[in-house]
Amino acid sequence: MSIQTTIRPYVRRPQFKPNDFLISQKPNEVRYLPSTLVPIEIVGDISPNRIDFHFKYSGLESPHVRKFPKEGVEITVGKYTNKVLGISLSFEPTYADLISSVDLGVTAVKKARAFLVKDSVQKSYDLIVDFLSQAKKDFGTNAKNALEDMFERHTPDASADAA
Amino acid sequence: MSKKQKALLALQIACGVLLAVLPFVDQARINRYTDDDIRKHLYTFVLRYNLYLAVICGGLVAFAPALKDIFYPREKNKQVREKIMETMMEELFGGQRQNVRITIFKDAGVFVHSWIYLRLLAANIRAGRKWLPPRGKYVYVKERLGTEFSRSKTFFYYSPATRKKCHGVAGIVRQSLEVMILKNLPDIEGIDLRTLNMANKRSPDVRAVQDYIDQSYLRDFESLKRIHSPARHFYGSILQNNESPKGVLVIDSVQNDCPFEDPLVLKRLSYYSSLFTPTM
Repeated sequence: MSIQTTIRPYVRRPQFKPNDFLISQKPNEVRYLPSTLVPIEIVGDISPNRIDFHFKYSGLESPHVRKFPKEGVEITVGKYTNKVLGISLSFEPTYADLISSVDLGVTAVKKARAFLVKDSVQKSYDLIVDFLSQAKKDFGTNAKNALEDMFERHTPDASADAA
Repeated sequence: MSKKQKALLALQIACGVLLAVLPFVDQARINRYTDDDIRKHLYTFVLRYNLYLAVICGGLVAFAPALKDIFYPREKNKQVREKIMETMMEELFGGQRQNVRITIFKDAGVFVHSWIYLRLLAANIRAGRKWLPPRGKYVYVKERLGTEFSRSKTFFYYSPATRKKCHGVAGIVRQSLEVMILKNLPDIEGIDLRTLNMANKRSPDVRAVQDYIDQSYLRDFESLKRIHSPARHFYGSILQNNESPKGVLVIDSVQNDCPFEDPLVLKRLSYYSSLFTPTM
């Protein structure tokens, strides 16, 4: 079975409310997240043992060479702002492992957030955590059947039958 | 065609003419003129330094197109930024240039940074202060629309490490990479800052100015004195090019009501900020 047939695209264009961008508010001062730190589109490539999420922003930025590998989770960040440009999750080719890898991704993003100094970038990471939680929900509802079908077709027995 | 482009074209033509004339300048031609004729002196100069003139003119003619390539995109980007600012002024603020000012601050490069540092150092020496200016980074006014001070030399310090040391809305926004709105700052328009004695803490003017300095993150009185018109409301947004953050968009207003509270205006400002990206 070729790789192309097993990759399932997952695309989301998040809809935010103005309050999602609020960092802090005082009587004469309000601070918001700038549009350059808000993901406008998220594309996920799902294969039987890996998910690659790519986060698109209104401003481009080179990826940082350093990543945060943790239990099969790799976070690629921007060179200058540290915003999340991509998350790769590796897992055993089962539906249950896929779901738990998303949880590990959330944990890794939260840990990476703790090392950040700037409130705006921290807020951007919060949006990424929200997105991963939404993706987990989608994998458990709308996309569940398609994903289970993908794993079934990927098992060695199924491959042998197909051959 | 801009003034720089016209000057470059004139220089190119002059060099071309000189290169064309050079082979015809010889001693016989010089001898035709008397000593009090300026042409004799001119041709003598050209004949004496013909090799150097040929190299310089040839170099200028050869490299002028390259210089045009350097200046032209910058000029084009500037025109686009000015157009965006004018459109913002008309659409969002009804063209009220007397009340609203739009400024683009840009990161200071090596030369501008050195110039600012030397200027601050000279000010410290004049005032008899014994400390050096901060060695962090600066943003300076690149373009401005809205007041008579379009060629302002205002600059603000920012520390890449912490917002506590950053000066002004521009410095804070540049450091923290966020959108910031400051509203209803004290009205200090009528206070003469040149004659104000900040040591007199009980004066209402001094208290108003100190409140303004604290709330607008200006940090010190010297920074406030560099500002031509102290605004009452500010909007600041980080600007970036296609690679990294490069500057700050600051809009300030002297109106009584804050023009940045309308969510629709904020949405449009966010849109306009993104339009600056390819020009930074």
